[in-house]
Amino acid sequence: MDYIKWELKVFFTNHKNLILFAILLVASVYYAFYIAPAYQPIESVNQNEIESRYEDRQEFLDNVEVTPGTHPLTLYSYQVYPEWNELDGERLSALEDGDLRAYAQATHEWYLYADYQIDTNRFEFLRYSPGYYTYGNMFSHQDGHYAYLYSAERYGEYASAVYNLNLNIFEERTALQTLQRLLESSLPYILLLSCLLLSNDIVMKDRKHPSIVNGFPMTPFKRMIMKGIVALIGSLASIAILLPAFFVIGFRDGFGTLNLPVVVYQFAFLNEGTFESMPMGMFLMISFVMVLIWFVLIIGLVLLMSIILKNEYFNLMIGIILFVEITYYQRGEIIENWLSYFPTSYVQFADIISGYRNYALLTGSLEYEKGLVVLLLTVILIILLIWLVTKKKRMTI
Amino acid sequence: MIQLNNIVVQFGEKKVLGGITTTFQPGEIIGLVAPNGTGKSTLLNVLMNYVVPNQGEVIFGDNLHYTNKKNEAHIRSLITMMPDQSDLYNHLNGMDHLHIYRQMWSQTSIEPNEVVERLNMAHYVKDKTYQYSLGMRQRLCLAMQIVANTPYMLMDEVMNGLDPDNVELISKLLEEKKKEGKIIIIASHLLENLEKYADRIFLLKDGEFIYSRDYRETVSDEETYLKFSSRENDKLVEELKEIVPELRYEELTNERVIMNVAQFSANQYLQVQAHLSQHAQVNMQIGTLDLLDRYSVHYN
Repeated sequence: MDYIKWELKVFFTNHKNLILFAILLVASVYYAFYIAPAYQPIESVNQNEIESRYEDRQEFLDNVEVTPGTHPLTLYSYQVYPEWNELDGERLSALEDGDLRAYAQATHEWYLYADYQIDTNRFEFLRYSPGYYTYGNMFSHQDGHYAYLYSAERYGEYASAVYNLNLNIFEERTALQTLQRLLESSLPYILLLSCLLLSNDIVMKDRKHPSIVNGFPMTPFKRMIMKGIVALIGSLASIAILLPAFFVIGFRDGFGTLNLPVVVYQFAFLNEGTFESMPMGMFLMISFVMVLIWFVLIIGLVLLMSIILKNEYFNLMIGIILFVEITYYQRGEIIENWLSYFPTSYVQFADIISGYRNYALLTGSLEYEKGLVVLLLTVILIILLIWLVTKKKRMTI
Repeated sequence: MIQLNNIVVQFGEKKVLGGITTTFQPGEIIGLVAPNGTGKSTLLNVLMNYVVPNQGEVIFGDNLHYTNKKNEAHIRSLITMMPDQSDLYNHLNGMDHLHIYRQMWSQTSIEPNEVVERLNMAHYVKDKTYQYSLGMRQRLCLAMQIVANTPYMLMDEVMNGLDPDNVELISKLLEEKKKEGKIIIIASHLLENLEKYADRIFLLKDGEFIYSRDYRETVSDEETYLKFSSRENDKLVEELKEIVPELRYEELTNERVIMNVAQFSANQYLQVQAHLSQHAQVNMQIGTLDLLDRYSVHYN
């Protein structure tokens, strides 16, 4: 414990680490103040849009005359618009009445109906929301399909929610939902790279103080484990540094609750899977466990490379493992199941927990339970290697 | 007790230690004397197991060897090497350094404040170490080791950068530690001072002890020399040759001329002294060779 206290003191007074913490703090607060408020979800609560679509279709329904010679598209619209518009009408009424639970129920049904019509219509004139049809996106239809069923599941959960609803929850702007969104995008890279940068010199910094630390009365393996614990605590502190930004978003847009639904896609052959929900609390807990294991894995690699190669700059190469999966997980390619046994496949762990990875890559092989086992086994292997190397190798820095 | 059995250290073709065998007893201050690069630091590193000897073994206490990592950790709870002042953490203060040594050697360590008081460090110990002078850093390094208070203490150039007051202060402290039964091994080139407090001194050359002296014992058969130093050694030697035509002398690297008095007749002895005494700038001594002389003799 005494050695840990010492290492913690050195770690938290290390200029490089302090600068990194400061950068994380400033960047996250900037995000909370400027970037998060500008977030515009494609599936927003847009009364004008609903109203405009409702009126257009109602006018069509009021004026259309169906005869034996009516164009098939007109006939098709005549058949599908009434129910569709009824749902839009319910949504509008609910919004006007301020009854968000009724809005959620109608929206749940609206998304299910809309997705069914768009996904199955033979004429291909129906489209999902325009936000998916961006330049260069080869998977617009799939994205829209996912988003509609995702939204249907989400609003279905809201309709039966026991907590208070608001538009920020619907548009996923609350602090917890923002955290979820970030975990499903860049936050894993930021956290894991921070862990690497914070810990990369945890062993090699001793090189500047050999006559002080080399004689400490402890086995090299114990020393490595202690250093690992300190690097882990330091890396967890990088998560704590993000708390001010979380609070800024929370006080402005609401925190959300741990019962908010996180939609999980259960893969089935040809992406005919189902959309279910898990509580936000569960999602965050699994994410935290994944981050924790990733931290241990990265720190373990830093320790191992430090005692073998003895160069902190080589340690930075560990960062490559975070981006390896890009080379073999390409959307639209055929995904081999055995690739899911690589720990590098689980960097985007939040997307794996939510099942989005399986949907996007058209595979059922990526599951967080498997990821936990793969990552844990990798960690055990690394710790074993550290033990072996420290047993065999001279440990003067 | 520390026992060195035939310690051989070789780096490539170069033999740094060529079979050192000796025993250090509790309550001894050992002086290791040699110019830089002659193996004294290597010997200390062997004692710490930073360097593994090609041959031989070091035994601590009853039968403790560096046989595995667990034993190494155990031995290191009994031995400390004084930190190098350039290794201090510049962004931490002196007290932080003392506390880690206190905590890491918790079984033997003593209260840091006592040591701070003893070494007159109270006025600066809470400042960050980058502000320290050479002497302040050196005192902190020694204080760290004193706080650890292990039975075996190794010190490399402990008096470096210290002013005479502090040399005296630390000499006294080392004496006290010796009385507590510790084995203190000091590698140093500050010879005159070392001679005052070391119990035994070893001169190391070509990887071997070429001279050793136990200052606790009186040496009866040591030869007596007449020694002098001046700015005109050569001229004086020529003048002395007129008194003693067959004069046998040696000029050491410390610019001292030594002459064995056994070569003089009684008359010559008096004449030589009288002649040297006439020169005001001549520093003349009669006695056995001191450590400085031995050093100069062996490392010419």
